[in-house]
Amino acid sequence: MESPEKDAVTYSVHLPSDLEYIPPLRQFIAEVARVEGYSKKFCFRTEIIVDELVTNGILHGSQDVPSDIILSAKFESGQMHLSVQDQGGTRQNLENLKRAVYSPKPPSSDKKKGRGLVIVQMLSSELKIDLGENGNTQVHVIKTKDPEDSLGQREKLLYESDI
Amino acid sequence: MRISQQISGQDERIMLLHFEGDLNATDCDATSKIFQEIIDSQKFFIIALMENVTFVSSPFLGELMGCKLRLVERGGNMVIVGLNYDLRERLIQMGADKIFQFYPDTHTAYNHYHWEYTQTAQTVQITLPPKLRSVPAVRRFISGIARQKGYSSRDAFRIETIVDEIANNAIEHGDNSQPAINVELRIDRKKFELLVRNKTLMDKANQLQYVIDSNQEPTQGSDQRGRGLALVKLISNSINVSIDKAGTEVKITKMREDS
Repeated sequence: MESPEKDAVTYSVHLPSDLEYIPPLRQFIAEVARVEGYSKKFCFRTEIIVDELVTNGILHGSQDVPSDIILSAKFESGQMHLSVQDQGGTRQNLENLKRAVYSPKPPSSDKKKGRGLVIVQMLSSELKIDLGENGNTQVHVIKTKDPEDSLGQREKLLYESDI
Repeated sequence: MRISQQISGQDERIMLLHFEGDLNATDCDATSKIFQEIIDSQKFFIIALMENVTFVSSPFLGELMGCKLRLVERGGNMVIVGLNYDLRERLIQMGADKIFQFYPDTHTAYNHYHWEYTQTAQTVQITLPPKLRSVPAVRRFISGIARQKGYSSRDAFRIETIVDEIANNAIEHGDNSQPAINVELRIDRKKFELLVRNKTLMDKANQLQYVIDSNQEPTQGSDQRGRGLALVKLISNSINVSIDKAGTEVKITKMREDS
């Protein structure tokens, strides 16, 4: 059985902007993180991050039908670099995104939306956005493996037996 | 009640109907008349936008059902978008979810329309490192997509088997220096296509071509390996291989069994 290596490995997925793809996609990235040697806790948190970023990309970024979302996950030296690219939303969408990323404030208790990126920030080490020249928006997340996130020997054996 | 109509900017065959306020029994006649006008204008697909609806009475729900029936009889449909949680729960209690599809936003409703009526295939491309350990996650991802798109568990399981076999072959028999494997799936209501591209050493690629063309397995007798492609041929509808300097591409088509 191959063991997870220290070299960088990258997975990327190019998919239609459709909410139905989110459950299998988030499970895929979480499983991939697990394969690359990250703990259950890390993977569960990754699943939450992917769910939030891709949902935002579909609802506020790639709004045309058809349009696409591109997700890439690079695992390198105990860090996961996650990037979600959409086709860019309206100016208002972008302003909301910038505000949520660079001056995050939890919304008041009567608001039903707006907590997702606050949670992503809590669960990741770094969060930033890039605006492409062609109008695309890329959200980047870096999540670092904590010492407690490392897959222990016992957990590793259990995971290998799962496969 | 306030009701306004607008032809969709995304697709002129779709009419958007914005409803506002309480939808009471007294509003049934006016609504029926609006639906008839829309049908007379040869538009049979309606997205009912209900973000700003505060109440739906049971007579009005009955009227909407009748309107939907008139559309379905002409090959069209009506879906409901943007209902708030409480109202949606109430309509579900009244059994409306058996008649109408509810969507959170218009984008999802358009996707549904394209999937059901224009039968446009959706494409997902996956790039993965050439490591065998990556394959289980990929096969589960792809079968998960098939399930999510309404394919049966049996179809999804068979798709998972196909992906597993072809992706494992691409890694196991591929050039050691290949940086990545590309997996592409094209899925629509009726069929599923899988394309796996890799860099294969020429002798292995020719062997693969031979196996697929000749209906034979390369190994004989007691060898316990090498039955995967025969299984894939058994559970798929077509399998093609193209080989050039850029690499090998295996394309598999599987028709949806319950379509």
